[in-house]
Parts: sequence; structure tokens; C-alpha cells
Amino acid sequence: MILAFLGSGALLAGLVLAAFSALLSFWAGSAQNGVMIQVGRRAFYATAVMILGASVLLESALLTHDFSLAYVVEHSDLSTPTALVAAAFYGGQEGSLLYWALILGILGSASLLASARIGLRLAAYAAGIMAVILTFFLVVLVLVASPFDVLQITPPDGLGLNPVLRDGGMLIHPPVVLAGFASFAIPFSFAAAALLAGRSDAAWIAHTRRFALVAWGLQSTGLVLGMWWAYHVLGWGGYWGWDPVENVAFMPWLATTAYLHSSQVQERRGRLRGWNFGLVILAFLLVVFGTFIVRSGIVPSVHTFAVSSIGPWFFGFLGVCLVFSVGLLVFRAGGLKSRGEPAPAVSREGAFALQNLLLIGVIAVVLWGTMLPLVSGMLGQPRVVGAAYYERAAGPLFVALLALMAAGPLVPWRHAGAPFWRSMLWPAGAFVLMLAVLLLAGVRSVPALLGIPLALAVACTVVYEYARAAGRWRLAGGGWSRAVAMVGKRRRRYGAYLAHLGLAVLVLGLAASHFWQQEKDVALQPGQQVSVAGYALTYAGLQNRELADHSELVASMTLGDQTLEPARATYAGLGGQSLTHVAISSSPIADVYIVLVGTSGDGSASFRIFVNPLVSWIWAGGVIIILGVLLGNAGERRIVVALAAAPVRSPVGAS
Amino acid sequence: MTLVVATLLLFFAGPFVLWPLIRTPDDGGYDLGR
Repeated sequence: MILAFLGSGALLAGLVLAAFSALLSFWAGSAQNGVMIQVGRRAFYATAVMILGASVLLESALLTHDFSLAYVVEHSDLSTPTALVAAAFYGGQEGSLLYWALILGILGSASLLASARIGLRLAAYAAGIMAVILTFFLVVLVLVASPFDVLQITPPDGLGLNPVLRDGGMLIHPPVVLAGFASFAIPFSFAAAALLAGRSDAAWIAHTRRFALVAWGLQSTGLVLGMWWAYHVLGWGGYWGWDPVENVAFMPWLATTAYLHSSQVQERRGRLRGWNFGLVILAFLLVVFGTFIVRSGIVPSVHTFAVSSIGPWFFGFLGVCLVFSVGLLVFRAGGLKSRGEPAPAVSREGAFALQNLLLIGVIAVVLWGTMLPLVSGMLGQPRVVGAAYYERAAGPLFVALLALMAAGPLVPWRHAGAPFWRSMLWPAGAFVLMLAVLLLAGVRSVPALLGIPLALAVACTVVYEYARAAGRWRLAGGGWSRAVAMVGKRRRRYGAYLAHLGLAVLVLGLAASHFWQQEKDVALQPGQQVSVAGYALTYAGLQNRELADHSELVASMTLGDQTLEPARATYAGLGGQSLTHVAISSSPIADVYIVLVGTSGDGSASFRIFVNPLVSWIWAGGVIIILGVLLGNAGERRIVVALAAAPVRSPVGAS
Repeated sequence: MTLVVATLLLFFAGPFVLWPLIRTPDDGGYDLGR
């Protein structure tokens, strides 16, 4: 009980501090009052500490099974394993909002601590904007969705976590994807602050890029982990269903991908200034839109939280953010004209511009696909948008993007001469070779004939670039120290190439598993054998297992010397809810994926068996992308500080 | 009770938040940023 008061007191104190920080930061920024800017900033740090305190209290309430709190009762019980009880912190509506605020508080504080050189005024406005966002979350947490609501009667046990969430994936996917969502607020705040301060030079780009890359890295990880979890838990043999919630996580990722590329055009050539602001703002607006969709329950999805009263709050917040951002862009439009000269179409600038347009096209396709069921429902003619729509509408755009990824890194800035066309022979050669192999193998699907050779061409371009770097290294005399120095000097570029390579590997996995998945429904008696795509499986029999929080009916299948155990779990404590547990045998070539569909009294069982080629490449590609982000971001601080400090002196001075 | 806790927490946070106002320039040459 006392814990509930401490928690809600900390949230209320946090709300007061956040509102104070917002008001003071804006005023002190416009008055250029260095001392008050510091006070506003410290109020922001104190807000983060209050949120951290509330989070620790909620976590301890969960771990000590304090069933006087409604949140603890609704999202945990005594039989749930401890790790999953801890994960219930972000498993429900209120807790996940608190987690979001926590990440925003921590990353926001980090971004302010790292902003020493970008000018006090700009940093003050950024602190103000982040504090406004935190204020909104804290208002919702204090007034509408408090995780510290107390029950009048304390029950002896809780209701427990939804069975689908009782999985190891719960420990990694939601925290990463929620952190990704929260982190888009940081680049947004600095971009809007730069607009407020009238600073459209590249200084804000250097600072924002780093946090945009953090957000992008988190979101990439979150998306891949989400695919991995869906694949391992949901039991439909796939990993991406164009579900509204997947879509709303994908869209800010696309917008930030565009920004990470177009920001280079501003850094190098002074162009696309307004566009860059627009992309950062768009990514954040898409996050708020997505949150509104997920939290309000207005579109059906596997992810939506229980229908709650916070939908209108997020709708209002989306409206405020939209009006503020668009108003700011329109207000500053005059000062955002490009200063550099226009570049020819075949140049790095041209490639980035085209890539940006294609990514915006994909965002439009996904946004309309997500919105259409909602809009058509409002008009009285509900329409369902299936995967076929996305594949037809976004597929050609993805193909064009892959082609650009293969060519883009080889195109020089300003003008492409003969060396570019010569270097293009490598990816073009890889494309033609792979195309010929596929044609000879009898493949006739046009998307497969384009996607797979293009992914290989992308990989070839990256390998070519690394080989060129290795050539320069050998010419310079070789040696480990020189290699480290060379990579260190251009880590951003080599990190980006590594991310490209990861994406190529991921696309190969996506394409192969999408185009060549095999599926078979079978009913087997114990001892019977079945063959799917050359994999021979023998069904051994059924057995029942009792576990702490559920019972499992397990079928044993042998594949070579492996035993696979697809199962159906029944949670008696949750009204007999049952859930399928998939068995997967994974190899670099293909996954054998078995779902236990049904059983009968005589020991026979029916199965759905999938053979999914190259699925493990998707996860490997994800890991390579993250390594690329880490390489590109590691130790970038010095460069950022130098870049940010060089072009413009702060009007107030360094803090 | 929540209000009491919040007030106490704000009371404890006060010195940290207001430190730039409390500290005088003699304390360690605080740069006012001008």
C-alpha cells in the first residue's frame, strides 16, 4: 500500500518537474538566460530520476507479488516464472507507458548531457520539447492510466500474463521496440528546437544523426526481434503479417532510414535542408500515430492493448504535435532554401533523393494500408487489406530500392564518370549471374527473379567497396594498426556498408522463405513417417507434461538424430486458454517448422509442417545490421562535437 | 498521501534543480554562459 503512494507520489512530482522544466527551458532559451537554462535542464534530469524511482517501485511491487496494486493483479500471478513477472513491467498498458517515459527520460538526459557544443539556446528548446512530451506521458500516467491504482480488496493471487506473452521473447522484443519508439522523440526534439531557434545549418544534423541512428538501431533490432518472436510463437509459419502494429513500427523506421541518407546531402552539399527537418518530424509523428492506433484499440491487431480510455488523449497529442510541427516548418520555410548547387541526376545526391522518394512511397503504401480498414469502417463499408496489397504496391518500390542500394554506394558525389560505370560491372555481373542460375533452375516468378539477384548485387557492391579499402590498405603497407586506423577514420561509411550487407542477407532470407516455403498438413499414427521437401519425419507418440503454470500435450517427432517436440499448452489458471508451441529445426539451408494442430484418443495427431528456406539468414542479417550500427556509431562523439562546433558559434556560448 | 509524498520528493529535488541559482560565481567560477 505504501509502495503505491510512493509510486504515484514520484509520478506526480515528476509531472510537476517536467512541466516546470518545459516552461523554464522555453523561457530561458528565448531570453538566453544561461543560469535558468541550466535549472530547466536539471529539472529534466530530476524528472527522469522520479520516473526511474516509480519504475523501480513498480518492478519491486511485481517481484514481491504486491496484489494490492491492480496492475500487479492484472499482469502477473504466483505461478508465472520470475523473469516473466519482471517483464510484466512493460506487459500492460500502464506499465508500458511508464517504461516509455523512463526511456525518454534516460535518452533525453543523455542527449542533453551530450549537447554541450550545439549551443545553449538550441539545447534549451530541445529540453523544453522533450519535457513537454514527458509532461504529456506523466499526465496520462497520473490521471488516466496509473500503474499504482490500489484495489479495495487484495486478492490472494493475480490473473497472470497473457499466455502468448509467456515466452522468452517477452524479455527482449517489447523492451527494445518500445525503447525504439520512445527514442524517436530525441531527434524530433532537436530538429524542432533547431527550427525554433532558426538554426538550419548542419550543426543540428550532426547531433541529431547520432540519436536518429540510436533510434534506427533500436527499431531495426525491435523489428527483427518481433519477426523472430512471431515466427517462434504464433505458429503460422511466417514472421511478418502486415499487421497494423507491425506497420506502425515499420513506418518510422522507413522515415529514419531516409533521413540517415538525406542528412548526408545536407552535410556534404548544403541541400535538402527543409526535407531533413520534415523527415525527422515525420518519423516522430508516425510514432505518435502508431501509438494512438495501438493504444486506442481502434484497429484489430494481435498487439492491441485492452480497449482503454487513453485513445482520445493520444489523438489529442497527435493533433498538437501535427499542428506544432507543420506550423513550425511553414513558419521557417523561407530560411530553409537549399544553398548548394543542384547536382546531376546520376550522382550520390541524385541516388539519395531517389531513395528518399521511394521510401516515402513505401510509407504512403503502408500508411494507406493501415488506415483503409479504419476509414472504410467509418464510411460503413469495412474493407480488409491483405498481404497481397502490400506485396503488389510496395514490392516494385522495394525492388527499385534494392537496385539503388546496389548502385548507390558506388556513385560519387557531384558527378559520375567512367570509373563509376566500370565499378558497376561488379554488381551488374553478380545480378546477371544469379539471374541466369535461377532461370536455369526453372524459377519463373518475376519478383524472385528480381529480388534475389538484386540482393546479391547489393552484397557484391559492399564486398567490392571493402576490397577496394583492403587494396588501399595493402598499398599503404598493411599491418593491423593501419587497418584499425583506416576503419576508425571511415567507420561511419564502413558501418553503413555493413548495415547494407546485413540488409542484403536479410532480403535473401525473406525472398527465399517467401517464394519457396513448402507446407503440408498430415495426420499420423505413432510410428508413421512423412516426407516434406526431402525431410523425413517420424511421429513417435504423445505424452502429457505438467509444468508450473500450465500443462502440455507434447508430440515427439524425429528428424534424423534430432527429436522435435511440438506441443499444445493449456493454462488452467487462465480459464483453460490454450496455445500452440511450435517445434523448429533450424539450419542455414532451411527450417523444418512443425505445428501440432490436433490430437485424438488413439494417440494419432495431425500436424502442419512447413519447410522454410533460409529463414535463419533473416536473423543473421539482423545481427549484421546491428553490428553495422554499432561500428558506425562507436566513438563518433569526437567527430560529432567537431562537426557541430565548427560551422556556427552558439549565440550564448558553451555551457 | 500521494500529495504529501510528491511534496516531499520535490522538496528533496529542490537543491539539485536550483543549484545553478544557489551557487555563487565564487564557488568555482560558474560560467553563466555569456
